[in-house]
Amino acid sequence: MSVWNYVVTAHKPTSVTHSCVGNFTGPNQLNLIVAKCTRIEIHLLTPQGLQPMIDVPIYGRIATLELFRPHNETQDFLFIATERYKFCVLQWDGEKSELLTRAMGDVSDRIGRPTDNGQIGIIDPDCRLIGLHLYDGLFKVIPFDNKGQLKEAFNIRLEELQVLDIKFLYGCVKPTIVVLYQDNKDARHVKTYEVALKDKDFVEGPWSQNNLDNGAGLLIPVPAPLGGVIIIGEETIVYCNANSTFRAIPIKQSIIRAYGRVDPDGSRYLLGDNAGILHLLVLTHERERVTGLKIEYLGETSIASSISYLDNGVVYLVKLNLQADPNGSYVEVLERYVNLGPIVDFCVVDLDRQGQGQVVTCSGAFKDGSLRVVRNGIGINEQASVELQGIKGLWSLKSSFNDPYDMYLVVSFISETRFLAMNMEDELEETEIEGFDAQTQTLFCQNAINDLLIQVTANSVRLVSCTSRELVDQWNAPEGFSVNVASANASQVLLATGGGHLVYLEIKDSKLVEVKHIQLEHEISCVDLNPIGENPQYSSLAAVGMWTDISVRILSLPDLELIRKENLGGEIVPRSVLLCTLEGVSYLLCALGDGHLFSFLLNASTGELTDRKKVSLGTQPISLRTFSSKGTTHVFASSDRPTVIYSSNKKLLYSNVNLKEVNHMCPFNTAAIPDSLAIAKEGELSIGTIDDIQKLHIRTIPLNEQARRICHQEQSRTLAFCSFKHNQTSIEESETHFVRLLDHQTFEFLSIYQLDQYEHGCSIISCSFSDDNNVYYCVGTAYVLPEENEPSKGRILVFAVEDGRLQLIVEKETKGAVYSLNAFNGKLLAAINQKIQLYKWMLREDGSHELQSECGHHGHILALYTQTRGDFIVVGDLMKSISLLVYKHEESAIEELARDYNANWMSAVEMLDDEIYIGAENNYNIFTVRKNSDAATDEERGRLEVVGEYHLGEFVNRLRHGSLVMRLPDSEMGQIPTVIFGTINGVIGIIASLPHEQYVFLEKLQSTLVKFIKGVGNLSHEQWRSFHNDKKTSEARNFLDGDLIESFLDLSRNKMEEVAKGMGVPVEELSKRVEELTRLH
Amino acid sequence: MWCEAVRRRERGELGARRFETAARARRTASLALSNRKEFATPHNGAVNSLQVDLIERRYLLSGASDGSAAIFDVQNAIEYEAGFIAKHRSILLVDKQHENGHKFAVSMAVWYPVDTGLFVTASFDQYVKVWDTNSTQVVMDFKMPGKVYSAAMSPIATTHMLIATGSADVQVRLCDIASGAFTHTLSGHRDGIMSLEWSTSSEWILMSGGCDGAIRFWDIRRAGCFLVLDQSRSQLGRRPPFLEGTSDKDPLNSLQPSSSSKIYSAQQRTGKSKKQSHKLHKSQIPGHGHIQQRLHPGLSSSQNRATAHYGAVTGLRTTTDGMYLLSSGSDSRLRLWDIDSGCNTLVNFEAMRLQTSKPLQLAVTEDPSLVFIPCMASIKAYNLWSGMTFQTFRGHYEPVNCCYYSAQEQELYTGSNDRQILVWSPSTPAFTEMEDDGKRQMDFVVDEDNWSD
Repeated sequence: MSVWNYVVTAHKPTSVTHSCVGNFTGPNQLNLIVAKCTRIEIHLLTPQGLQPMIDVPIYGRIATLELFRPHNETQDFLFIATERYKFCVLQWDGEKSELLTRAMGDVSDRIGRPTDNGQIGIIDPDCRLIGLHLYDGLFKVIPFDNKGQLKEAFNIRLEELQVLDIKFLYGCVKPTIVVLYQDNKDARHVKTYEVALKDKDFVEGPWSQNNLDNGAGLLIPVPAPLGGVIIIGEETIVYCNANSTFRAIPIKQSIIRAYGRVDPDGSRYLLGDNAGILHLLVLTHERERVTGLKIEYLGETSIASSISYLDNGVVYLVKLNLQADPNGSYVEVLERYVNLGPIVDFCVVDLDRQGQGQVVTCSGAFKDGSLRVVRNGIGINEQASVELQGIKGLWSLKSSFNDPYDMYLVVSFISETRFLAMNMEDELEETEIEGFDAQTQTLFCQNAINDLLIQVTANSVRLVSCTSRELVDQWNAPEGFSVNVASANASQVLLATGGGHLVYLEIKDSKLVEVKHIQLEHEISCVDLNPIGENPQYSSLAAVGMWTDISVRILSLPDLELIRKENLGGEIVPRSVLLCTLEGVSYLLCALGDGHLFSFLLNASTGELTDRKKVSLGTQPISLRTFSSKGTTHVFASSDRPTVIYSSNKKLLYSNVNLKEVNHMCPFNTAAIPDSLAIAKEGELSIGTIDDIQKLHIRTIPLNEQARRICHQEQSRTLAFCSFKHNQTSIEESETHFVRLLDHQTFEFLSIYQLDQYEHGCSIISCSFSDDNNVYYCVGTAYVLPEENEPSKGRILVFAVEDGRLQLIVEKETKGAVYSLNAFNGKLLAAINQKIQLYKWMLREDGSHELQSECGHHGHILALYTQTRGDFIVVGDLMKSISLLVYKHEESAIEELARDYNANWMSAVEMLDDEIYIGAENNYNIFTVRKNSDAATDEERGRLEVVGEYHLGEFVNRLRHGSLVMRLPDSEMGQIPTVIFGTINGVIGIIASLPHEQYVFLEKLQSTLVKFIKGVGNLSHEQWRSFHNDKKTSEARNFLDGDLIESFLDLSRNKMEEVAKGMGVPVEELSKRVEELTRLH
Repeated sequence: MWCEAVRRRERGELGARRFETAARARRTASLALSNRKEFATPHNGAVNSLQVDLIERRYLLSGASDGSAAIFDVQNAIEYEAGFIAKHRSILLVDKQHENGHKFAVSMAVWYPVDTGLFVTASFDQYVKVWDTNSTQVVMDFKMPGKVYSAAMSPIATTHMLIATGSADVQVRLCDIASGAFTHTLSGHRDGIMSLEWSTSSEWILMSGGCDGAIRFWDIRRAGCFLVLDQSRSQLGRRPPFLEGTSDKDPLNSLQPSSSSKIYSAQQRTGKSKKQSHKLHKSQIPGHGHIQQRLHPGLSSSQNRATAHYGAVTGLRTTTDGMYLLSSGSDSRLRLWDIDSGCNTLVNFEAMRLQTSKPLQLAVTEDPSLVFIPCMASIKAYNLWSGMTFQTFRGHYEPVNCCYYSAQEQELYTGSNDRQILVWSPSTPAFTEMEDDGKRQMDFVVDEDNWSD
């Protein structure tokens, strides 16, 4: 790999961090606005449900998302503040349907220490000012002027040290805040302050309340006329207001994280707690006097991080985790959005050994924990299959022309044709169609107008009636010529015989009429006349592929005039051509015998071909066929690496199919299994349904407990993972930790091993040892005792998989938590608290094995993450960045070679190659360091040089080598090594190491694009991607933002041309290069 | 805790920031004499000053009474004793033998804040010298009118390269490295200046503590000092009270009469002063006062004579967030000041005994939650907000002069008259030694006994 890296998101963040409801896109439109860490989504509430309107990236991690409505405005504005102290006010531009920036700015300060409890941003209900608590001891005020414009911000000293929450009170003459804080004796209080805008200071507020519940953590301001505030504690809920009303009720101990107001007058609230229980809190009141509080259990849902009440009892529950099934009496899940976060760990499993990984993640927390199988490409779920050797072609036929469903399946063999039909029991059964010739190979079959069926064989074209199944008309090939290739649609047949003869037939009054016959100069390899014009039954264009000159020609129908000839170059014959229309755009696709595919944009009226592109799909001849799924047309390319070609945003996309090799495919849309496909593989015919046509597919394996570490063992065909279950009895909470074994294909639970009390599974790997042919799972654990600051005891457990069972072979006690394990030169390398320790696998006299410690290395604060390569070890420390160790065989010792002296708090490390290592750290940055082995001085050799820095904006939990897409050996992208990362917010991303030339090119493209693609709220891309921590901020280097670069393809044609002009490169080439990049993920 | 904290962080339950803060606090709370790291000092006199560079946070600069200054690498040890006790020897030493060395005690040695290529030493021989680290040559010197007690450079300055120096003379002098000349003399103190501190929020603000007991704030862009801290001026009643019907609020507070929180009692106490100042409160809000004062450099004489301590101010330290100032005085008091308003926060630090005749170097943790102050032969850590003693570090044999807290390593370095620099690091209770290391560990335990009493 190289230092020039390209970072791109394969799966967008799914954890919702904020949500709010209001009239944003129009005075009468109710919108739900959802923030997913670095993106916002705007939905419109319609009678049919939520309808997504826009999904845009924000150049920052969203800290505050609030809707507000200045005076004299009819719709709401959106206020967004980011964790790096930028803010913007957005407005919806109804005409252009885009976000308009009304204001933006920077609210950072030189003074003060960033709050640990998270930034608070609030807007006065009367829209007089925005209040921000960003630094301990400071409250920043951005006042509004009369016209709703923002004025200059100022700070007010806030003496309270540990602020937990701040809210504006409703119905106050002057803007008044209520502050929930903790004093230095850990007692919690609330206090109110009036904001005196003129004096730029606080005035002591009307009331305060001391010594609240020790777990008080959330304030809910109650709208006028009731006013006041509800203080949510862990054991009590308190209401108080300025008239010294004080009401309290006890609740069952729980931590309430999220609330949503139900009524505009604030008498009812939804509360969601950390166990996923949804409560309704009711303020009972007599006129304007609150008389009491009531709480009611509503039901159990997922653990909510944010709740928004939409309308008419519909709640948007923003899940921290996947929504579990509700079993409460009042709650019904209307819509469910899959959340992949937090991805605590993952492993890359290459089941088919094709170089395409599927990622198995440990996702979700607590009871929502699950394993997710994330796969690129489209899955075909086999419903039925039958063994059939030597299939040469496959077509489906309907029983009548207007029947929506298919009835017959025509299977062609080298010397016969067989017919299958769905019977009444929805089973496939062999049948006969009398008019068809069953004694020869069929070249093409098709339903035609007037309830006719067409069969093309080597010597004839037959027209058969659907109803009587009898031959109606026949066209015979001229003597001495046999039909080689043919294609037909509802009213036309085009066939080619030897000698370059091309014959065009039309069906007129249930008769086959030969309309035109021409001879071309070369032999014809493939033909197609799939209708792409307005008439679905008649095509005015035909495509023909030629031998010898390797060209594809567009001919006009019915006169077979040459409109266009496109030479393909090379020596490989086109094997399949297809005219098709995807998302209203017409294409000519032409597949070669070596697995390459040409695509052209086709002008349906003139037959002009533009925008020629070539991609590699496989290595064997491809045959192309259209099919439809959910009412949309797609193209299936059968070959050794079957691919679905589909269009999204008017771009052609290619997605792998999870089948090894497909010879033929045809859509087989039956009433029993709608939208299914018939697929002919080597020696087998199967019927299967196809996944939704999209890039990534996610399958959930619910665990009801949280998985923490996972690894794959190819030899035993299993996955093993460490997980734990939270047990809550009435008296105490406890955890039980397990090691579980799964089948890697079916994900069936095979075996379970329960760890000791207090014992946590911290790491797991699959490895083998020198002088032992077996493969083992090694698990590192820690005994986490409540009274201990740092674990002083742990174990390394070595398991073998025997008959699908985990068999404990060896256990070895360690003096600390085993945070990380690695296979290392046939030995086992463990990171135990401060130390790196190497164990040998020793054969004892009695034939059993044991782990014997060989050597170690000290000097880390906590060695949390390790990776190895050859004799080198890279350690990611809790707080001391990356260090490089080397194992010296002769001395049997581990020594430090070099270290990065920056104080990065690590969250993941990986070795890109022998010289370059990548790390992710606590402030959402990633960076690369390089070993300086050639440096002149010891000092320089002992230092890992930081070569790349980038702000990812995501907390990375794991970096691993692997790829989500198939690696094609002959494509350019196939040579690019990639690393996959997984984050807390459910992002799966790819880091690809580019060749220098390409990096330079893309860097130029990125800087050009920054000028054309403005960030939402005019936030700066450069600032967003700059490496940032408490100590320093430095420009991103040697990393490219793939998300920005790939958004080039979403630009309008005009913009694309402008960008290309700025780059000095033709648009076609530019989009080709960017499209290639999108195939990395 | 670590195991659990790492687990909570990886699933996003514990924010990355809070994880860091908690981990730092946890480590700082377990500081003890290091059993892993030692400095072998080349100094033949009391260690007066310690500072780690601000760029790499890797090089410790020390200044000592024998006129020497030394640099240590705090991260990489030169050799290991018994396998894992890191011995850090000085990697650079300038002493009296050096052709340009100081003749008398080095009272302060500070790094040039921008890179480690330069450092500055101040000495009782009345010179302030600027050294080139790589060539160990003096590149510039400044002759002062008296013994130099203190020198400071702004850690955030981007537009100036000034060394503020305090000496036995009554004036603060600013030496400009760019021109090699004095650019400012700041007059106001009535006695020598023991301690200086630049603001961490504005590169123009300098704070000085004098032997006259005053702490003065200077804006170097303007003439004269703009604020003199007054120990008798507190924050109480700074905020104007809520005007309408304050009396109504008492029943609310009495809802829980048992509550005796600090805030509560503070409100009670201010009750009286509120009444007196009701009409006048506007002009008496000190927070706004200093804006006006800035316009009038000649402070009224009463304000000008205000003192922060009875006796000399021996040490100053701002918190890293730039909001508070700590001062120590020869009256054996430690005071915490709110910089914005110039008020004494009245945090009552528990009794201590401080050296009276020497500048002291205090240290504050990054949170800021603890302040470390040399108290004769020990160092005390106080909770910054409650003033309670958190821990007392005993290890030096003679009075301690300086301490430096490294936020990156969470280590405390202390220098004393006993010529030693001691390292206090987070203790690692469980040694993860393996059986083959067992013997070394035994040796090590014996070794430790020599130190700890």
